[in-house]
Amino acid sequence: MTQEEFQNNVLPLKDKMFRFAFRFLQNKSDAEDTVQDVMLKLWEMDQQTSEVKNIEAWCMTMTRNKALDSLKKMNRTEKELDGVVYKAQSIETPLDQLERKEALKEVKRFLHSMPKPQQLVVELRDFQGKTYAEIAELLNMDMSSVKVNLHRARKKVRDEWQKQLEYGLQKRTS
Amino acid sequence: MDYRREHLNRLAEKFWNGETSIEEEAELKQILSYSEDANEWDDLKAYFEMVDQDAEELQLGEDFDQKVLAGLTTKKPKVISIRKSLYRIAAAAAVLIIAVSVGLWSNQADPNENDLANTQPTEQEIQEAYEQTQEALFLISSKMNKGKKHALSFNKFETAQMSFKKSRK
Repeated sequence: MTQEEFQNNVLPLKDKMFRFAFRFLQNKSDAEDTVQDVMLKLWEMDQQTSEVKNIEAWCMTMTRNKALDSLKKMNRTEKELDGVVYKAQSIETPLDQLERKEALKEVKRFLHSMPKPQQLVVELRDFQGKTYAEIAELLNMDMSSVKVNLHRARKKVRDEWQKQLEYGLQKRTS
Repeated sequence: MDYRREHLNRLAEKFWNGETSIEEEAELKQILSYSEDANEWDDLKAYFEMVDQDAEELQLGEDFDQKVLAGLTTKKPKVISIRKSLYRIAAAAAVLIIAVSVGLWSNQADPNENDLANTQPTEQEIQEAYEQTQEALFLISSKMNKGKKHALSFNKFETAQMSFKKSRK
């Protein structure tokens, strides 16, 4: 792979990889490092990349593996990713945050605090448009688990949105 | 309730249940984009807005590209097997020159004498040829990574050949 090919075929994947890593690590700096490491690893493989049929799938898989390795080093295993509700970072909604924009911001924060499997499925489906089969392969899940996680995540976001609207309405009427 | 609204309701329900196909989700977004009633499917619109906003915020900047590209240029260059090729060339050249040298010795022998013993190089001459060849090979080995110019050490073989010729005169 030449540097030009790398710029045209690999670098454009950076944002997808970054968001994917971020869902695992919940830290932008760590996610960025992960993406950089994966891309440099791909470059080092050099001639071997001619055997890689789908560079995007390879990059996403490596991103996942690298992120999981990082989590292990932080003493957080893959098991802990399932079913654990991570506490949101302090979401103290100011009383004057009733605008739609602010409500959306809260919902986004809520999204970032959901269990990782749900965040990951939402990322791959709603942000990146992957099929259920692709998501299942990437996350080592069966298809029914993909759909269940997606259902739970979307429902939670919807409920949180309703909550934010109700909170805003309460504020206005009080 | 008109067909369009019913269809949209069905799609919305499927969407929240995580059962829509990619094509259905695209259709849902498209219908919502020109929906006149802003409130009816506000939760759906908000969901898609949130995804778009989050995607915009979670992005790597241009400096990331430069960082990665800088990492590519500092990569050690691949060691191409010129070394192996040069070894083979050196070995072949050494064999050739020794063979030519031996041939010259044979040609310079008295043509009237077919006695092979008289046309054989002496033990000393053989030793000298061997040592000079070995020296040439060591020189090539030591300079292997320094490029083509060091292949000129093949001249050493020519020197060995010339010295044999002179010794026979």
